[in-house]
Parts: sequence; structure tokens; C-alpha cells
Amino acid sequence: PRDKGLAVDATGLDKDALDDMEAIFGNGEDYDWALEQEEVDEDLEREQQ
Amino acid sequence: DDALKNPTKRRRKKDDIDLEDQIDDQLARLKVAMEKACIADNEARDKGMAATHKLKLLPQVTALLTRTSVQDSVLDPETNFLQSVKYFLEPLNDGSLPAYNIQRDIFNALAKLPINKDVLLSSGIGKVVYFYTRSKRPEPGIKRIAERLVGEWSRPILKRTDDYKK
Repeated sequence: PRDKGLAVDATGLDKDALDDMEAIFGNGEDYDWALEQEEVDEDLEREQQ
Repeated sequence: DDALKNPTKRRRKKDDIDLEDQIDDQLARLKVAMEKACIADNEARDKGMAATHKLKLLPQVTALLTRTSVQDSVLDPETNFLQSVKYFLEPLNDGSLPAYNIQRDIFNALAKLPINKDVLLSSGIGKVVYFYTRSKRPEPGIKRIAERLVGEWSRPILKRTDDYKK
């Protein structure tokens, strides 16, 4: 399973900064469907080999 | 002397404004074409055909992104040209990434633009760039630029927290 959320250490961030980070980079779920599809495709490839 | 200088000055200013309007029109038209191309490419993919519509527009998009004289218009949160650029980079409905040339040209252009918080908030481009750091599909060179951009774009926001604490 891939880790969710931002690539930065969020400890010690104030709420405004966290809100900005999420507004700019998303909540880590925006393109999850594509990442999940990636895993499915990889599994398929592995099975075919 | 002033009377002689002023008319040309005023004319130049008016020309500048005309030029700006022209660029805004050009950007608005291109935005519409880009969004249509994204839909057309998804439809092509669904039918098992090659997705070529975005690629055809790419030279125009790259030209505008890299022309320093139009940078203000390109980065204007109201024009929101970067929102259409975001659509260009998004994965297609089947989860595949857009053509490598699209990724390469757009990421290289983004790396040279002074992108501020306002345009990040209005365009949502940070979300798709962040996706490229998480996906396993992009080439290492593209991933490196994506990671650098996320770092650069988050620095002012994280720095503000540091300042606040001090």
C-alpha cells in the first residue's frame, strides 16, 4: 500500500499552512483512482509473464 | 517638447493594452481548444485509438508557456491558463499518462515559471504535479522535476510557519 498524504513532514505546521498545502497539493486522494489503476495494470502484467 | 513626446507615449501605452487584450483572447481560445482536446483524447482511448489531439496543440501551449513577454497573462489567476495546462497533464480515463512529449515540454516550462500561491490555488496544477511524484509511471527525469516543483511551491507556505514560530 502506498502512503497517503503529503510528502512533507506536517508536524509543527499551523492550521493555515496545512490548509494551504491541502488546497494546493490536494488531500492525497485526488488521483487515487489512477494510482489504483496502476496497481491493477501491474498485477495483470505480472500474471501475463 | 512634452507635447511632442506625449502622443507617442500614449500611443505606445494603448498598443500595450491592445497587445495584452490580444494575448488574453489567444489564451482564452487556446484554453477552450485544450479542454476539447483532453475530451477527444479520452474518447479516442476509449475506442482503442491513439490519443493525438493534445499532441497537436502542444507546440502552441509550449510556445505560450515559454514566452517571457506573455508571462503575466499566462500566470494571471483570473485567466487561469494553468488550469488547462493541468488538464493536459492529468492521467487519461484508463489511468495512463499523456504522451511523454507532453509531460517533458510542460514540466520543463513549469520549472521556469515564477508560479505563486494565487495561481496554484486557482489552477489546481499542484495536485497533478504532486500526483506525478506518487505515480510509478513517469520517467525518472519527469519525476525529478515534479519533486522539485512540489518542494519549491511548498517552501513559502512552510517557511511562513517557521517565521510565525519565531
